[in-house]
Amino acid sequence: MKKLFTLTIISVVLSGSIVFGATHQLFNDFVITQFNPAAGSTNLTDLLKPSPEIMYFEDQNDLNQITFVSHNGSSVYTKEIISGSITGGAEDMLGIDSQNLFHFAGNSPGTMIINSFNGTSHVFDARFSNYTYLVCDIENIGSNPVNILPRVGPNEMDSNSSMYYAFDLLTFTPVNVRTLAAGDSATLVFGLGQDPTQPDTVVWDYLNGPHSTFELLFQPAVGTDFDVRIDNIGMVAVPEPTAFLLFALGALFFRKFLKKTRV
Amino acid sequence: MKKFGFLFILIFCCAASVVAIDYDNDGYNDTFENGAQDDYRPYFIRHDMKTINIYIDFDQTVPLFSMTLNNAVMYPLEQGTVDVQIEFSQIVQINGAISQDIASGALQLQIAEIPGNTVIQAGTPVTITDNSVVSLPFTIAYLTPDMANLPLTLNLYNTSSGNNMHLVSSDINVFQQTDDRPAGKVLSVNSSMVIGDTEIIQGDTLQVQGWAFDDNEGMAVSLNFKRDESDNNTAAVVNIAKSVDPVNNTIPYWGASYPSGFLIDWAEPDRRGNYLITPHLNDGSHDVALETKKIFWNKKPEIQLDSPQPYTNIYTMNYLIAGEAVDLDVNLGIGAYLSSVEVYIDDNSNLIKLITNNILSNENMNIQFDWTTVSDYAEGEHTILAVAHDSFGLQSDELQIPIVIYKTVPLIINVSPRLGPWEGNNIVSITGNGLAALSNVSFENIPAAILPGATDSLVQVVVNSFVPSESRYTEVRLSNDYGSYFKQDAYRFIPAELNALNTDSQIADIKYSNLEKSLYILNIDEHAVDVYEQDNGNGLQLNYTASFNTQGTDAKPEYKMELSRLEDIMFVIYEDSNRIDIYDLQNDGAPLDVIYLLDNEGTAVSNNSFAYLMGDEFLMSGMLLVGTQGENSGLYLVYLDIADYNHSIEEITLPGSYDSVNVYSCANKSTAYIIYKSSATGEFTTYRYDAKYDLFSGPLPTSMTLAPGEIDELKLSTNYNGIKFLLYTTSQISQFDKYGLLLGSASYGMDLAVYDSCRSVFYSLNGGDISFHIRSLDNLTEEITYCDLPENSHFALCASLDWNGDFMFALSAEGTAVVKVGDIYPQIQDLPTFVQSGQTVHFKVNNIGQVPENVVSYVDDTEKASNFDNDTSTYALTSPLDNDTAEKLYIKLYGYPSKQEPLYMMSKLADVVDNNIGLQFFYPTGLFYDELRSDLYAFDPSQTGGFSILRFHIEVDNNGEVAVTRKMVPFQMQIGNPLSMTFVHDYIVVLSLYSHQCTWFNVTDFDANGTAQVHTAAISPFITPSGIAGYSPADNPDMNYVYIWNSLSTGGLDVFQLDIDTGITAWCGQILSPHTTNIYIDHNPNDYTKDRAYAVSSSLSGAQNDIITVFEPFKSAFSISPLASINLGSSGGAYKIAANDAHFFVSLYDSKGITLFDPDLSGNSNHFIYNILNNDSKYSRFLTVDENNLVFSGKESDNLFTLSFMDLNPWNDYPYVSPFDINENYTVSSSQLQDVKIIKGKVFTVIGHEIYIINLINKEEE
Repeated sequence: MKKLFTLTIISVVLSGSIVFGATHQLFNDFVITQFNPAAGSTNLTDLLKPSPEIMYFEDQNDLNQITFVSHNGSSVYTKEIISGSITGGAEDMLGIDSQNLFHFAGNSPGTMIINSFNGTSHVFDARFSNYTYLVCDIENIGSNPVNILPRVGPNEMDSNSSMYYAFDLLTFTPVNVRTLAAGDSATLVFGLGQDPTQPDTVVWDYLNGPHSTFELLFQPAVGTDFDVRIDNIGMVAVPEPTAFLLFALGALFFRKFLKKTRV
Repeated sequence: MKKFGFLFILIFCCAASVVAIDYDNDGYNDTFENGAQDDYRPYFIRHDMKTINIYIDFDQTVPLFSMTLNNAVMYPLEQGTVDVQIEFSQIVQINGAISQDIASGALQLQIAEIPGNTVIQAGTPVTITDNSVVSLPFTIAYLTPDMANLPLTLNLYNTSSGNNMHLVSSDINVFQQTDDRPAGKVLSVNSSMVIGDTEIIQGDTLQVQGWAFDDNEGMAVSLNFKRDESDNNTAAVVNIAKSVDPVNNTIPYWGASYPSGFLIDWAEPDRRGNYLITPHLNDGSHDVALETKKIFWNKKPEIQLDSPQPYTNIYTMNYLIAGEAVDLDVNLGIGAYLSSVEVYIDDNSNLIKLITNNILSNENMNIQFDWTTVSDYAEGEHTILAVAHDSFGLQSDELQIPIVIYKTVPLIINVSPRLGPWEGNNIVSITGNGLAALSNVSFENIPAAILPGATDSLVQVVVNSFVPSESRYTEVRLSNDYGSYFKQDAYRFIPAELNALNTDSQIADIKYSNLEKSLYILNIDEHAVDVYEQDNGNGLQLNYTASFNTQGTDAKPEYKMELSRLEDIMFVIYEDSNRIDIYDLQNDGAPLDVIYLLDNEGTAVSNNSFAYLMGDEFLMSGMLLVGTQGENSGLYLVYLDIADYNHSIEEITLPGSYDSVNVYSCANKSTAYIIYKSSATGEFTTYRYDAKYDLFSGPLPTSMTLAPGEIDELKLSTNYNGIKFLLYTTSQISQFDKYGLLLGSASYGMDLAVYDSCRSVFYSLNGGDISFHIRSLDNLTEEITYCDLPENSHFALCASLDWNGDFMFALSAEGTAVVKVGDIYPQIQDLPTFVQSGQTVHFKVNNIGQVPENVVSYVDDTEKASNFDNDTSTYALTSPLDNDTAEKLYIKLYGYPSKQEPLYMMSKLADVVDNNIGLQFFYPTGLFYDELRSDLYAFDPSQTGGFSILRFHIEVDNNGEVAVTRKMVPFQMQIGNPLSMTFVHDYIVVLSLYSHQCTWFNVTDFDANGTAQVHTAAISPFITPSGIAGYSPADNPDMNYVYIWNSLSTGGLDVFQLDIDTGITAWCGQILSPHTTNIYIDHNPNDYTKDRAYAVSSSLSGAQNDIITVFEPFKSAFSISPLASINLGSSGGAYKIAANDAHFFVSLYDSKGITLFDPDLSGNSNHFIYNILNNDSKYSRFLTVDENNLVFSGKESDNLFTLSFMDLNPWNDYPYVSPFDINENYTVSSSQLQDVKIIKGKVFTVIGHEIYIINLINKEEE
């Protein structure tokens, strides 16, 4: 962790010096909030998406796989897949070349929920996966800072047996809320645990319905509107320190390189 | 006494002088018979039996220069010799034998001393040889005052024979009674100079010095004068001083008590000019005129200053010194004239002015010059000295005039009154310093006339008209020689005009119509109501528009008039009459009806006063409360039915026996006060009548000590809504609250007191006065100022104010004065009504003139320091509310209060709650209040998985302080996307749209035992539930229904009933309430079968009207059928419904308004529907009500969200238009505004992600 922390600093410094004042954050210090683990069973099904992809937003059909929870009846949202990519973070970790991304904007808080229903949606299985980290890239293209309230866990949105939740449910303390300043981008890294047979790992509950959820609630920290881009949701194995270093340097090198090669 | 016993003695006076002068004015030169002449020495007339000549040769007398009268004895005395010639033959004749015995040389003569008398001291005997004269020396030793005669005794010795002869006067035996002429001489007059033969006398006293003597001690010295030779002599009144010394070296003593010198003092202040004066000596038989002197009596000139007068205060640098010098003895012939005048200050070294006389012949000399050097002298007391000089060097008495020099630059301390009509011509008093000699007083460069009588501290001026006629503050500038001073905004011109109307008519009453902007004048002479319209310009002119005749047929004079609430109907009563006329003002005053008041015995009463009152806010006909007077005086309530002329009259039982019942109403027609008076006992009782509740309250504990007869003057005046009132006479005033509790009193009186409808002031007016007083209601003893009526017109007892407190209409003897009193007061602008804790409030103040620092801010009637920012022209007030939740802010400028503006404290629940962890990321949209347990639930539909519902326990203490405690919600209840909540008895139910479920738990059990008992009921995925309403009949705890509505319903899937005992959701198929947006269940606390539910069916795209469907919520789903379908008439997205004890309210989203309805469930469907708000820009959303307030959130057309506050009690407000105006709007600048609830008198609302607590102001209690 110490090393990662150092790298984060480097990345902040380096990327901050390059991208016109915008900063790329690395959020990889999320705290496991699970206090109500449910007993699970193994019920692995075929993946609709090839691992490690959960959703790269390269396919317009991806939109159909997302559930949106609106803040109120008057909420107005923009939900579209458009061309573009967020580079240098999860994209590099996943080793993909993203061409499109998801544009999500609203005039009040909005939640996007990616469920992994058996056989009908994207499955991500931490326990049996070789991939033990869930990553994604987010860029705040609005004028307001945005609070990101993530939730990673089994069951549906009504469940409180999340693995990662924005709040510590015993104390209501927001532990996993991250704020992304206007113009900034970030890579979210959630560690998903190793093996349920081993101590100190998270139990992934499939018993009551084999599906898992990755939720992102976007709240404008100031004002009423949020406007974000989301890209490169996927799973990786142990994110190599080199990958992070690469990410940090990638801000320096790859950006120009990719720009050249992709255009 | 004319006895001089000098026998046979002839005294020859010898002198050296040979000049023949007749000093004694006896007509002869003073030449002695022996040919000697003596200027000084008179002679005594020789006796014709002169046998012995005694010659006193004074020349040989050793002169004694110093003679002193000491105890009436004169000494040392003079020595002398007497020359005696002895006639030998006479000696023989006397004693014939003697001569023969005389040896040659043996005869010696000696003046003998008189034994026992040492007056004469004998000298050495002298030998007598023949008839030759011998000289005998002697000494007069002393003289006693009573010694009348001085006998001489001569001893004649014959030394040869030894026979001495003793010659004594008695021996002569012949006494010569001699009355000598007085003798005297003028030695000098007190002239200062002699010009020619004229002696110049200076001053008031002429003095003549000389000597005189006589053988008569009673000789009188007098002075005669005449102007010239042709004039007759006149005796002067003089003082004679005797025994003066200038001459006594040469004048011997004579007489026992008569000094030889004299000094004539002729003190005649008024004598002046040329005189001939002649001293006279008069011994009674002789009048001896001494030398005549020609004098010119020169008197000192006189001087007088008219300016400055003594103790004059001199304030100017130039001061006119004026006066006159006079010299009446001008005689150019001898060079006598008025020469000059000198004016000094303080002493003769400080010459201010020397003025010489240019026309010497003038007796008068005018003094007039500007003293231009006043400023050279120090401020303070000084003396002006002035003297006049004549040519002979005489100067007038020095004129000393004390003065005080003031060099004070003027200073204004106070200007009173501080305001006046813009036409001017009224008197304004300015106090301060240095005001006595102002050269200029101007009001914003327009000079004012300075009235005489200014003192250093007070000057009165007559203000000029202000042109252009602007309503504004002006500076008052004062100037004197030492500088000028101005006080900004010291005076204010306010618009005021005198309309010369009806000056020849007797006016009974005036009333102003706010809606018509007209003034009605009840004209007794013409038996008519004259209508005057306020002009459209500044509103100060009244233009005659029409008249209509009053209908009283019994020739009683019109007495009072009253207007209905909408000012469309007028009522008129008459003196000593029971008649009430009703006129239609919408129809040119056409008579509508006449009411005759009869008492219970059918006797006509005598109307005294009356008031129109309204019993409800919905424009019913209202009522008249009428007081009568006389023996059977009473109080009557006339319930008006204008449409059908079917009024009902009720006589109110009086609390005692009174001979006068006086009714006074407040401006908004909600309340009246009644004074029952008994002139016989001087006692009175006060009652209050509340028209809303048709309730008499009293007797109120209003006590005043009235002098005998004072009760007849007792009057009452109320504020706009009757929560305060004044009782007053011409000598005292007291203010009470609506319960009759004394708020304050003062010991001055008035003929009329009028409340300002919106500021804490009232106006007091007295008949005949040219001004009215503005006084504070907060402190009755404080007079803020007074203001003259335009053109100094004289008030004539009737006045009327408009509702806004802008215009005062005052009937005066000269016409009707219109004063725009609203311009007097400062106006707060841009004040945010809502203040967050610790927030600095910025606001502007209008109508304050040039000195913003004079604005004083008050919150909670306490002065609060505010800072003024010149750049933004705003005032900043930090934390104006401190810990108060709601207060009034007002400002005072020079004592003029502004209207009171409400400040609502907005507290964040997060700041109040005991545990606010996580709230910053909680974005609730909905609030649900569980009034059974005082729990507020907030839910955030965007949250999932455990943190979507929060629960707060709300307590409000007696001081209005809110305490919020966070309480647990079972984790199982934290469902994602909660959309609506309700409770059913002990169950708290949550609707989740996302999961299509209702989930509930037993909150009582959970709180007591931690057992949540969470249950879930699924809702068909084919409907879109948007809200739930629980049904918990109080008298049927087993009935646990939740009604679920489907906002998107179009084909009958509108309302569903969930029985949470079974978890079964059933379709209420017969309720036809498409697109249901809300359900409100009205509970009957005693009989649940009278419970009614009201479902709001919102118009879809205006396809049909908004409908309220009424059904019986206690029935099972399939048996529910609508009781009524209330068509609101609106077609615009009825959204939420709320109700209080009086009415139902529905917010209209699309059509942007709020509709009130009162259902008629009797089967007649005679529903009362009233669109209380029609706002084209406001999409009404959530609404909440309590008994007095309606608060709703809305979205403006510009997508800004607002929270609107409406006062549901119309009697608090303007009576003439909609009683449901929005009083306050809170606009959210950068957040969305969601649900709103009134909980325990506080507003809870969601702004952005914050729950705010906002205080409500109960206006009626103000």
